[in-house]
Amino acid sequence: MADSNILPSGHTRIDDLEMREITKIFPGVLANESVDFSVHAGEVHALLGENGAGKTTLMKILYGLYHADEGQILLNDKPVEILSPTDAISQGIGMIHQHFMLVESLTVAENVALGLRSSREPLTDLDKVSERILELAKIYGLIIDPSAYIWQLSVGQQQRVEIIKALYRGAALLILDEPTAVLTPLEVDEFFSIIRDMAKDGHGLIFISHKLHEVIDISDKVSVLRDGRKVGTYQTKDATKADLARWMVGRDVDFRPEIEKVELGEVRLEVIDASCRSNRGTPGLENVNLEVHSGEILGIAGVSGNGQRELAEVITGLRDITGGRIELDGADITKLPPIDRTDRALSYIPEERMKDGMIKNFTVAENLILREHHKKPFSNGGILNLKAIASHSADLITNFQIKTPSQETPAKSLSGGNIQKVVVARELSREPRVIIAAQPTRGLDVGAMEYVRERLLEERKSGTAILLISEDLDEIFALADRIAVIFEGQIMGIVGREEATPEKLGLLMAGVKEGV
Amino acid sequence: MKKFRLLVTVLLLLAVLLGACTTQEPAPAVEEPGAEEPAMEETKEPFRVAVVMPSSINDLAFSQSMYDALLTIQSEMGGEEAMEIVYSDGMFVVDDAAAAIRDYASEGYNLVIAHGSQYGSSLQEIAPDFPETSFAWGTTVDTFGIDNIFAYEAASDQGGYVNGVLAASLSKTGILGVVGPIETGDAKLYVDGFVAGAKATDPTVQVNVNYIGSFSDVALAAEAANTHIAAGADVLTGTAQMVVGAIGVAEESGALWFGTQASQTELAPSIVVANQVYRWDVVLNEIMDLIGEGTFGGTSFVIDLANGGEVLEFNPDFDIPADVAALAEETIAEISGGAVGLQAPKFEDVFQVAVVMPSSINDLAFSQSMYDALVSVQEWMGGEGAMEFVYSDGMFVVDDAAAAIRDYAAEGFDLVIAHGSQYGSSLQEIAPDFPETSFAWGTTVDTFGIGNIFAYEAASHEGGYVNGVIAASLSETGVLGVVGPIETGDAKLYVDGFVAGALATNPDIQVNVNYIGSFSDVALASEAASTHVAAGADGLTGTAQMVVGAIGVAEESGAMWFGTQASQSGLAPANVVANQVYHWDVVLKEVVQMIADGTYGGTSFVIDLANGGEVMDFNADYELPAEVKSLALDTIKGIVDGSITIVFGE
Amino acid sequence: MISDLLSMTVLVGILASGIRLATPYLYAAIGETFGQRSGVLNLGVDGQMLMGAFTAFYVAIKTGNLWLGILSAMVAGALMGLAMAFVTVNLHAEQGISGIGFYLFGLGLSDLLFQKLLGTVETVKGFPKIQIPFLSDIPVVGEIFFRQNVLVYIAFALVPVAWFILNKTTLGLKIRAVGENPEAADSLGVSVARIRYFTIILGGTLSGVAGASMSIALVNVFQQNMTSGLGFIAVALVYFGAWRPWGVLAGALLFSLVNSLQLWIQVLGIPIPSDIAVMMPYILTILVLVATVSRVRAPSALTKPFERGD
Repeated sequence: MADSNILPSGHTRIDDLEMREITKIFPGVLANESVDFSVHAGEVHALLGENGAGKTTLMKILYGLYHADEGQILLNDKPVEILSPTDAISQGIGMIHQHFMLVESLTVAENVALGLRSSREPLTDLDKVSERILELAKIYGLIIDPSAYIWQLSVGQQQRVEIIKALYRGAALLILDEPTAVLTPLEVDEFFSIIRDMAKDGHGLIFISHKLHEVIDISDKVSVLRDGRKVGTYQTKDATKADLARWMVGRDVDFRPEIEKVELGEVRLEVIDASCRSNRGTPGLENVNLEVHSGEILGIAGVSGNGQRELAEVITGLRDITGGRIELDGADITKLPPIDRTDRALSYIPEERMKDGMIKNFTVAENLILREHHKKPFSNGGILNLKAIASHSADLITNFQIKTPSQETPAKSLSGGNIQKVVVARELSREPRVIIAAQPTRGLDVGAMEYVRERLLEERKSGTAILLISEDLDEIFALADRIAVIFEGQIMGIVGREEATPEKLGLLMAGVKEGV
Repeated sequence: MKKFRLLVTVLLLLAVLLGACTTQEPAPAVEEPGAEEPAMEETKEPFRVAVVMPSSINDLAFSQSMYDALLTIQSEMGGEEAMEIVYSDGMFVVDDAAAAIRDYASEGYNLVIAHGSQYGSSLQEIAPDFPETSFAWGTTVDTFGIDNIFAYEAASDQGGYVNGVLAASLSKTGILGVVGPIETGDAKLYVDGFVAGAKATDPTVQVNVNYIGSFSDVALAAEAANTHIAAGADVLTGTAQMVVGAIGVAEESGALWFGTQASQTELAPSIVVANQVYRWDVVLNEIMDLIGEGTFGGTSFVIDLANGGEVLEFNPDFDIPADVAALAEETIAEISGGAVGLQAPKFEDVFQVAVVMPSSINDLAFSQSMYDALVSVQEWMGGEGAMEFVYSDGMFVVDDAAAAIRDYAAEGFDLVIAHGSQYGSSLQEIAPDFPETSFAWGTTVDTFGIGNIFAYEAASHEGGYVNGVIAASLSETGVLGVVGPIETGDAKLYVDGFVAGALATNPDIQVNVNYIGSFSDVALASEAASTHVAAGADGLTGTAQMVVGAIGVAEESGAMWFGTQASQSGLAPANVVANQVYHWDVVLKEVVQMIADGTYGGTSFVIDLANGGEVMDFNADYELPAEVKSLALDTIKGIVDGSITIVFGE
Repeated sequence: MISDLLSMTVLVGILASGIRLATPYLYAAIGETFGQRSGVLNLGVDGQMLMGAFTAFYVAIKTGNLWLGILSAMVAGALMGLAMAFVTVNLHAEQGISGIGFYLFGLGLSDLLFQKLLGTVETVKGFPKIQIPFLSDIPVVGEIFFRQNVLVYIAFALVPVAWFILNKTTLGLKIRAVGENPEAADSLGVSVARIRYFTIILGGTLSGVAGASMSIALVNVFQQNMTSGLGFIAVALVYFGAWRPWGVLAGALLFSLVNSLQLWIQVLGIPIPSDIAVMMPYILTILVLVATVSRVRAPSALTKPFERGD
């Protein structure tokens, strides 16, 4: 740890930051209740909690995006008022949001300069800014080209721009909101080493996450939030994954459910030489070959945007295929419209559940029959049978433990986990032969995640063929019998559950084939 | 300062627009109850009448006509014992007149006559304070709905029409001059009637009308008459008290004179041919009868040739050729009998007209021509008390127009006019749903065979031809330019007529035609005109409302401009040579007549030079060489009598 | 006849009137470019132009001062812009619908004021053509470019100025950022609302001048709906110009030159039906748009209201 209180970036270090008894109330929700939180120079402090536990709210208060209803913030033991991001920045607090706050059509230098006073107002001084960026990049080992446009950069590089942006503004304390969600395993490693270096140099770092192993890897201390209250602050080295999960959820959690051996059945879904275009007109899939058997979960691993979405859509008929075939139960369905595939008991849990999985303004009951609405008993000659719909949805709400005020509640007002339960309930209740599950647990809290995974395993047990597309390697490892890695629209390789290691998959995900 | 005022105005208008319009005039508190009840029951008391007049009782015009009427009644009733008359004349200051009216009312006169339309608003305030006094107000048809006000008016267009017939028949130069005060009310009605009569007799006759802006400026009236004489007029007429100045000029120069309101024969016995004399006693008798029955107001009266309230008095000293006299008598008989379309039909309720137009009512073109016609039809029917019209202008979006047409029909308007050929298909759908409503649609000849649609169209090529003849005669470069909207309908007809006229006059002339594809794009119209000028044109014409943009270019570059649809002289007085002006009222009057007779549609009408629905209006400020002028007049005559056939190019 | 098109008179005529016709488009479309770059689609341009056209005309006719006319047109346009900004920025109204609302408002109010305050179509002595010394004497070129009125010159000067502001100033950087990712701009302390207010009001001001350029410089009359939807073409030109001032200039010139070309085609009697001739500018513009459109991308936050959580 550096002795002086000056950071390598030239800014003053924040020795102590303390948030005291922070309370924040949104209409009807107590987001933070008397939360204490502190972070010191040279320390990585993880903030752990399920979705909706109040982590992001607490940090947005620190960054001036929200205002606390009660409580105070002390900086080096002096109370400060942070009313806007500008205030936070001037106090040396920077925040890197889960969704990058970058303007894609601007260059790195322009993004960094945005909102700052130029040395030659009203004109920009991008040359000077670029110089300083290169300087900072050198100090922190963040190699970046200041004149590159953001859209030209990889996700990992974009994250570096975010860090530089914060450092440029004199951040001594960095809030990192779920920073690894979008990174490949290799990028995560690189990112962690940057974090460790920054901590060593005397920065304070707050690491928001719900990924337990990352918290254990990177943090010195961990504070756990549950339902807006702090459960406690612990030294990370003293905690196990199981401890963290228990504090977070309030009960014991089964991470790697025991997977029963299931006898492999016949091939239910076969993708043969399938190719298609992406939305941009570039190749989306190239000669993909896959088969999924009855009673099997085939995991598709890969970094987001490598053809996962296209694969799901080609199979479900939502995207035109440009070459190859799709077979369901041995029958060629390549030319069938989506509804005919649905009628052949193909179920689909889409990646964007709010957009593609349901109609937000429809009620829970209506969403639960979306796929079957045109069939008996829900519809009789085009007239909806409201009674049948009501009793069906009442059943599903009970069976799938959907928490909703009523079945007439609009779907959009449910929580994320319950929205996904509605989708899962709809897709699983129709006795599917094949399920395409795209990111089925993304963004869900641990409880909901656990539930969805269990249901998928039950389906597997009953002989359904499941194609599981996930960017979460933990999930793939936990559920899949075999794992196919997709990279730039191609299947890089398929490995069995037993042979798969994170390292092996990581290489494949990065497009490196050797060693498989 | 002006800018500030504008800002305030804008803000006020905004406030009104934004619905803040809740202000109301505070209801006037009833003032002191005024005089005690007039002793009507005591039958021996004389009937007391007071009259307030704007000019002198011997003005040989408006005021005198009333005074004479009162004297007539007095003598009929048995002299001063039976009827007492007091008057205040020369009350051209409205406030003074109002004070006098209030005084008379409080002095217990049985009938107080406010003889001047300018007294209306004062009367509206005074009358309610004296419920036992009867008031009469003219000339108007509006009683304000107050039940102790009678209204009276003269159908002065009728005598005007007869005067016009006579004038056109007697004129040798073919030019008539009119001196009017202000273009409104009784004066406008008379002048319009005069013009109509003259044009009906001889479509080539030129009627120069001059409103001098004053009822009393005798010197200016004289000067106006001088101007007419200088412009070649050999017959003059005029209305209101200041015309005495004009009569002197007529006498001096030997021009004929036609009088109105009162007999003006004695002023210039050698030149006055005939006078339309008002006999208000016809109305006053009825009013006094009603007062006797206890009704103090609420009715409006019109004097006309039929009811004897207007009499055409011929000057016995002037020898009218027998055939002309016969024609006049015939005309009077026709008007009185209602045979000439002049006599407006009477409807039980106010006749309600709605019109939907594609552009603004003051577009100096298509929409304005219809608006002006409606104003004139309203006058003809007897003002707002007899005919009301509402309009939706700027309806360039056909769907909006269709909605408006349907709304008006549903609201029970008697006649809904869809003024734009683009509204046709909408109307075809709407009209059958409202069989009790009459629709008129133009410009077209197609009624769709639907029984409640009238169609109307302009033979716009006729005026176009005349304009073309003049333009070709005047052009020095031998190049003319035409700016049209879209190559169809009325516009195409006009343009083709113009081209034909120009080529008929000078086969070598080059007429460049440009359709800009829009009825409203003034910028493009302006640029089209610039293009013509750059291509050498020194005479321009154009049709539809966007041409106002082109007229500016004509003005800037010194090119001549020929207008159509409405008079555009005011926009560029130095450049506009002539305009073909549409008078849709010719059609509308027939439509109204047919509706009165129970026919709601099925007929199509065309206005043209012969029926007076199209009139060539020469810009008085533009000095047209005499030979060109006579060529133009001959052309008009030829078109009217059929000796000229308009041949369109290949 | 077709060879007539190549004569000097005709070429000069086409270019000179193309440049004049482009003037109102330039003002309106440059103003709209600022708005759209900051994420606001203003469909009320035509209404703002009409208000500007009327105000300038009225003030010029009453005071005789043309510059006062321009100034008041700017104020009128700016006030319309202010209202639009309030509705879209503060009230998060749907931009397309509110723009149409402001269009109808401007259309109606300018007509109402015209009816009440003037009542009839009349002309005004507008900005005279300025002959730029020396330059205007250059044969052909001088006639085309340097004998126009002052508002034409300003309109063309506006293009590099707009380019400079958007690309070389901190203000421009903020405008572009707000239009692409308002959340990001907000997180860096840039006031999204202030930037959008600025661009919408600027757009209104320039639209006002666009209207004024018609009523007191090019046509010198005011008439109800005299812009006849020109403001909507200006909005289209912003798309055509790929949200870049030089692109907007290219679009405005292309559209206007083809328009003046078709005027000449008719005048010279080249046998193309007038209905087809008048379609030419539109057809060509659409063709160019189709050919180039795939390469450009609209500002990401265009038409999206920005609302910070809390």
